[in-house]
Amino acid sequence: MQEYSGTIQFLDIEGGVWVLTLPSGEHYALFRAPKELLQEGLEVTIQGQIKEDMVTVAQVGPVLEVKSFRRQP
Amino acid sequence: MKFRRWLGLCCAGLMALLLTACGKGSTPYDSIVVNFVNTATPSQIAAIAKEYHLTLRPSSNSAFARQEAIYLFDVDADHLGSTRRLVKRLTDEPLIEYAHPNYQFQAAFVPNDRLYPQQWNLRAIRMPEAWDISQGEGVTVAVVDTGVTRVPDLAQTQFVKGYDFVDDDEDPEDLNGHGTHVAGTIAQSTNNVLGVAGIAFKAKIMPVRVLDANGFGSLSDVVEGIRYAADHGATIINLSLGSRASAQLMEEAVAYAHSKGVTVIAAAGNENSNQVSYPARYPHVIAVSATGPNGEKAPYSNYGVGVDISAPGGAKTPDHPEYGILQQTINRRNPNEPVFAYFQGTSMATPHVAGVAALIQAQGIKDPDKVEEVLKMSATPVPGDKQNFYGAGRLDAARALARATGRQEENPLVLWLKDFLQYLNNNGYLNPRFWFDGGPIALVPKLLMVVGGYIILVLIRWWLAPKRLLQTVPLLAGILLGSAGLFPLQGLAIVGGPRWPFQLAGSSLPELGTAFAQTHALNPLFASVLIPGLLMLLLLGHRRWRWAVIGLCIGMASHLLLSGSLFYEGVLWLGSSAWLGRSFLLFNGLLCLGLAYLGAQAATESQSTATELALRR
Repeated sequence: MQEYSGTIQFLDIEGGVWVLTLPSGEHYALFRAPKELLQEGLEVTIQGQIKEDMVTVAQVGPVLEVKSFRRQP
Repeated sequence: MKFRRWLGLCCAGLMALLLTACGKGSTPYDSIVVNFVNTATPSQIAAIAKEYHLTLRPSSNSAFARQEAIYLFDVDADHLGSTRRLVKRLTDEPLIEYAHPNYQFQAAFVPNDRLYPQQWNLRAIRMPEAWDISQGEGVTVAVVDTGVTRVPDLAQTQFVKGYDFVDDDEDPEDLNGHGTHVAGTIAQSTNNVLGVAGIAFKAKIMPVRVLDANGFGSLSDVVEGIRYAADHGATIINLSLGSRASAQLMEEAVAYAHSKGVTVIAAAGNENSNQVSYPARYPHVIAVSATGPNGEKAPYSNYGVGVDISAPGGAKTPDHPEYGILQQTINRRNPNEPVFAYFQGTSMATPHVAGVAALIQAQGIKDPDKVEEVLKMSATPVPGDKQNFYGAGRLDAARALARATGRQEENPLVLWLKDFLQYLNNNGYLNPRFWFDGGPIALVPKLLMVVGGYIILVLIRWWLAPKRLLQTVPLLAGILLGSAGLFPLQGLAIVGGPRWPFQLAGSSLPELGTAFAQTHALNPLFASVLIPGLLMLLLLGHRRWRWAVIGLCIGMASHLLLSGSLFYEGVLWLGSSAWLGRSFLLFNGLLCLGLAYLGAQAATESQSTATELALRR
């Protein structure tokens, strides 16, 4: 399990997709994200796993399966 | 001799092609309009009809037609040649103002759907002209996606049975909205007043659900979906989905579909990266990048190796949601509520290509490689596309359909020549996935320069010389070097290797001065009579080489005269005055022409003398 820190964003692409945007600008599509996580602009650290075998409509970047998260101070 | 005849045939063929490319095909007509002078009496009209053995009828019952004395008579298509002569004779009659064929003009199909004016994307790919030819009858397109819900604007669209691999049942309802939107672009019910239009609206949709309500799915479901579609009669599979990782199962599934004659089309991905997603990147899959309303690559669209073609995918801005693609779909928060929504993404670009592919298939072209060829060859190439944003170019439905229809009618030789021309023009000279780098070359000017050189050669030969005295091979080599160079080489590059050897070999002498500079302007030291003049002084005494120099003068004359007139792109160091640059090129072109004439005269005289001397001995 790895940690990923960044900002939660809703991208208006393919009808809309929630992503974690890293400071580098890279997007991670959020898979199995709890509702509380999905707030535009939230600064968070997510513990999760990259799902290599997932297929998406969004195609915005790697799929990150969320196991848990914490807000950044 | 054979070589010269071959070259002559090629040039004649190319010229004929250029001429036919300029003109449009003849418009059909089945009657002739005859407008008599207003003072012509019915008995005079009857007398003329009798004289020419015509059955005249009033063109319409409108008062205007009677007052203007406009009549029609029918002709049959087998006698068009004699009709033309008849039209000319009629026009010469003093009682007739004019007579001309009654051309049947067809207005392009414009659907009556209320929101059609918002669909900039359909006009961008020239759908109205394409709809005149086909609307996708009899073709089945599988939408392997989040499912498809039959929203009201899909009510008249035909569906075939699909499957839901997410829930493993036979009800592939859409809980996300993506698949319904994609299906709408392909075959939204059209000309039904309601809502928006779709591209191949008489095609059948096969809904195959492999992605869940959030747009995620497993590789195995997608693989099953592709195989299901290929096994159940779909001839096109739209894959508006992707994964970053390559998977052998997926690659095998698309290869399987291809082997069953299915055209597979997939989205390049939305990361604005040069790593095209899978399955778009696999062989046998047409990978689609997305463009916005201005035709430029959309900011999110992937590009680079693997992209085959581009199509509208939308490029929304906060102020302009309507720069997206509008279709009817479901509201994701309430899947029972139909909404018209602007989406953007390479997923939206993909069904544009799938829809046009359906129209092409409806014209009888089924083989997936042929369908892909038609799509690519008819696309509008984008010059200077160094990073392969657009693949073969921007999707053009009208040209694709004209091409698809033409295939069955045209003579194979003409088709081959056209293919070859477009082949070079598109600069897909070898497989772009490996070789393609750099913009297309201005082909028409180059070809005209070659043809122009040949015409000058023919003229000089006609003025001067007994054919047998001309040294053909050095002469032609000189013409090629002076006029166009081996220009197709300019478009080539070996991945990772230097480009300069190709640019050097691909340049003609006038272009050598700026072969490595980022400009199309000509260097006056090279684009002038200077070098051929010096070479002529040095080599006029040499039996073979002088013919190469004469050829060089001919080729350069053609290049400089055309550069100075039709295709002027500037001359270095002469300031911004186009007038000065043009004059310089034209003047030097004439000098080269004169030099070629004098050189050829001197050479043939000395050769004749030599031959006479040899005969006397």
